[in-house]
Amino acid sequence: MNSFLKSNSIWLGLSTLALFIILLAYIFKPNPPEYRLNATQSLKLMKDKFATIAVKDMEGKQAIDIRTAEMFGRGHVENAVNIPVREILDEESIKLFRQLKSERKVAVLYGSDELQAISPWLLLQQLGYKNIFRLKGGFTSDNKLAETNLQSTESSVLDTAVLHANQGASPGSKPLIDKPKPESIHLGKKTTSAGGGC
Amino acid sequence: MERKYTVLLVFLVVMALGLVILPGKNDRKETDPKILLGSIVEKSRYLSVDQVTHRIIENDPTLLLIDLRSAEQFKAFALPGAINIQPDSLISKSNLDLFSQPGKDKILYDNTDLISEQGWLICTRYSLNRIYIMKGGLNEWYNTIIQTEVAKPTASSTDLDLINFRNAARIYFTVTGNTPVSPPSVSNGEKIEVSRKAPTAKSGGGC
Repeated sequence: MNSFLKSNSIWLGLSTLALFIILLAYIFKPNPPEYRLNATQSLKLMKDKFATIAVKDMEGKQAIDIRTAEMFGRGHVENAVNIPVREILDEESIKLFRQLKSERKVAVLYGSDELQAISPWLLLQQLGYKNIFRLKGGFTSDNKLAETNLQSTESSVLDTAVLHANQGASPGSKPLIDKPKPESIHLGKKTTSAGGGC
Repeated sequence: MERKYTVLLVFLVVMALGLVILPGKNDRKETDPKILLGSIVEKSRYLSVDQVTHRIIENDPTLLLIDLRSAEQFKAFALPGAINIQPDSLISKSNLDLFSQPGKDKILYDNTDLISEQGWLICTRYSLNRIYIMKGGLNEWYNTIIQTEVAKPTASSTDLDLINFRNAARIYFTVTGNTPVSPPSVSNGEKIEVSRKAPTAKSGGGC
């Protein structure tokens, strides 16, 4: 055994050093955000009714304002943290999200309206921050939180009766845009027979 | 059996078990979260209802409308040529083939933007290209195109052109019967009747 160690001491030393370097690289490797949810799990979130927090239920939760610093400066929710959308994956932001997660604190993203918060919220959910919710509403120009208005709810405003009522009616006005509607195509008629040949 | 072969056998069995336990490889290429965030900040994914309406009227062959509302709502009314896909099956195998069609702009819409926005994000995460959102959804389309406003006397020529276009589009969708009552299919090809005139004279070819 001793003779084996003596004859291969260089190779064994190099192997040990390589293992040590790999171990150090593993310990100190950068920890970029990675997706924690697969496609099916992410799709399920799209209609998750428990993903939103109502304005009246904001108390005791960490508010995260994703509007610009300028808008945040004009007014914001008390104790809110400002993380503009483009900075939500910065090192400091990730550190905060990890801290909130480890402390099991509920965080609520809000913007000018619910729509502004939906993509950042879904991205963070896919990265595994299940403690982050989005506000059902937004911080309005009146410097207060307000519930979502009709434009950003999923209710339909369509009156299908209006859309179908006039079909077939003749209002007396010709459509300004004529959709090409081929009914009949007459192929060109020949007046003389082909007198081919020599 | 020699000891070294036993060790080798055990090693191979452990490795094989590891392959079984490890999750399957995801064939779909994923966009890096930071790049995806860049796409979120950029707003080029939005198309206005006027832009989409114009392309519908022009019968744009590169247009592929994807309706993310419920089947019931889709049955009641949908934009011409739209395909109904339920959000939970958005990136199923069959739909991935649809999304991968080259040369097509896939435009997502729902009643507002909430579902489309999320659908866009998931599609973009899986590197599906040319995915857009009809800004404001069908509600915005209805309020803008069907409930057209009356032009003010002080309106600029650009505003007047826009209002005239919307009025024309409203007539197109409501009066001329271009609004589909039943769910539209992918191909809305119209049957073309071709009438040929019977030959009156024989050709006098030949020598």
